[in-house]
Amino acid sequence: MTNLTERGLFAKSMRRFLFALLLFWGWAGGFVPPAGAGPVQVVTTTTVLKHFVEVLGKDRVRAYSIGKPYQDPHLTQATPQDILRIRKAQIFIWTGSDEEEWTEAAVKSAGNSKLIVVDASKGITWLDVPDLKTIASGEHIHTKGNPYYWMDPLNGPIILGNIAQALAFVSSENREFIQSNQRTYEATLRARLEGWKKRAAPLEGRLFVSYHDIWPYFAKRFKLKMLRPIEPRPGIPPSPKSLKDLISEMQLEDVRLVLQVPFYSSTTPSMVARSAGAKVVVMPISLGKKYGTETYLKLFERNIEELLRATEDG
Amino acid sequence: MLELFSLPFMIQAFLAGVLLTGILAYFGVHVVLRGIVFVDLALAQISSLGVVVGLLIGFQPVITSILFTFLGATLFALVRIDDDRIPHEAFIGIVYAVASAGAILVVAKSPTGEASALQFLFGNILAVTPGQLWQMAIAFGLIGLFHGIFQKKFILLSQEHERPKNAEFSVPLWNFLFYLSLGFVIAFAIRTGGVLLVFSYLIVPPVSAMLLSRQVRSVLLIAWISGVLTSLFGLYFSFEFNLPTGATIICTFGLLLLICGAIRWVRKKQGGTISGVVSLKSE
Repeated sequence: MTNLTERGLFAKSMRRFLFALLLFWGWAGGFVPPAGAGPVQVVTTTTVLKHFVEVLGKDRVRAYSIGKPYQDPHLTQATPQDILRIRKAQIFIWTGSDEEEWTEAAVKSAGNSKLIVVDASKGITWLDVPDLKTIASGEHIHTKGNPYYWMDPLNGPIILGNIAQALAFVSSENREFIQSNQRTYEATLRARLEGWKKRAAPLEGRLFVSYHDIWPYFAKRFKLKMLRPIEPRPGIPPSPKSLKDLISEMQLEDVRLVLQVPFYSSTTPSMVARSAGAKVVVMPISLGKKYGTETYLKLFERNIEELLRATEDG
Repeated sequence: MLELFSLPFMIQAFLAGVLLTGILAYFGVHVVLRGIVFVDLALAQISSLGVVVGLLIGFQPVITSILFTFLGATLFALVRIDDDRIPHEAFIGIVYAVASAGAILVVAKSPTGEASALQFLFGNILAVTPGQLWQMAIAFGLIGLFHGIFQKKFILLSQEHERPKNAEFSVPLWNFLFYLSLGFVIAFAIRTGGVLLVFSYLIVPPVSAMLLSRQVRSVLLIAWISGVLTSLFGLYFSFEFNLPTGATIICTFGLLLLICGAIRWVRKKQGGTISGVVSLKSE
């Protein structure tokens, strides 16, 4: 992903053309800054990854997230400036899921031969991995598994470890600093998780539905149970019959929660909730001021409180 | 503007824009004259349908998508509704809607299908590779050559709305060849630019040029120049204001149309000669 060996003759002549242009204008710029000078430049695909970089490197890193908190991760598009940022960056971090296939082209376009590309999912246990037979019969499905693995707080330390490794490699003089931040944060996270689990005890065994299947990691950690997604398969709207079946099943099983991420349309989930006597709970999966989820810790605090509020009233 | 061209990926995107302009502005003149501007969207949808059908039956989706595109081209070339009240475009629009919905139904019934499977049909102009540029240059060059050799036939067909009165050649055959080459070009182009961008490259430069001229040659020339300039400025705006590139280029095309409209209006005020008729006179 990082090298450009596949470029052929055309690239060569392109480089010559580029060189000529530079000579012509007597101008040069946009090159990778020498390592060691100033903060480590990191580009990430999501806000959560950006946050982790800042947790580890504090003021010794400068991180930028291409994905915005209010964006559907399926629809993230790199702008020319994003690609320029990758070109100038030392580290690029992505989630490693099938959803982020666009990063391959973006990194290729950036043409930064010194870039270190970090797959944040290294060492994660993916959930909902399709079996081999399903993979063999189709070309484009989520072959790795459900992409929203950071919604389990226990995956946080694994992601953090992957990022810390790359940061310490690039900026070896800060190795101690990064590793000590990593230890401190991991301890905080684990301690908080114990608190969240206690707080979320009343949620145990609660059933929910969701339009898109976003929650297997979160549900596993906090012991909620998904009945099934509202959409029969990703991107395909449910038929009237499947909606009817879902609603009656929800009533039968006493499903009171419809989980909804902010960037998806809420029309069908609201309809389902109304018909089944359930409540829509909007739960972000990214970090941003708008949702009151500026940090990874706040993300879980907020979502758990929202869930508790919805179940208490009902 | 200078920094833009110190970046290889921006140069590649610009070259892609030049190649798209070269072939699509030419086809656009034909498409507008024939009154079939939605043919591009319909062919793109048909090729999507081909992809999901390929996935359903477990066959190479790239091949099924090309087969479907050719099938669609054949359909548009040969099916004629024999009623003056019903324009050919109505048929094209219907095919568009049915093909789009058909793709959704096929995905709903396929065991592994996902709507996102369709995304690989649609490229992003920023991600274009030198290899793709070569492929496009060769494919578009061959089609351009073919049309250059037989330009008289193609122009006559388009000017006479696909029904020339006393043609000395087989009209269905040459209509078929027109749609086939168009389908081929579109299949290539959407892999680089995406559906909306390709539609804009196809339609906006010719329409803008027709606002300014009535002669085939100058319409083509204006369309080519304006297409290249729009690519350049679109890329520049996208870079400068940090905006998604495809959408920015499309909005820049909108700006182009506005400018050409304004020029036409000013000229008319000054007693210019361009009338509101869309048909062109060859020199």
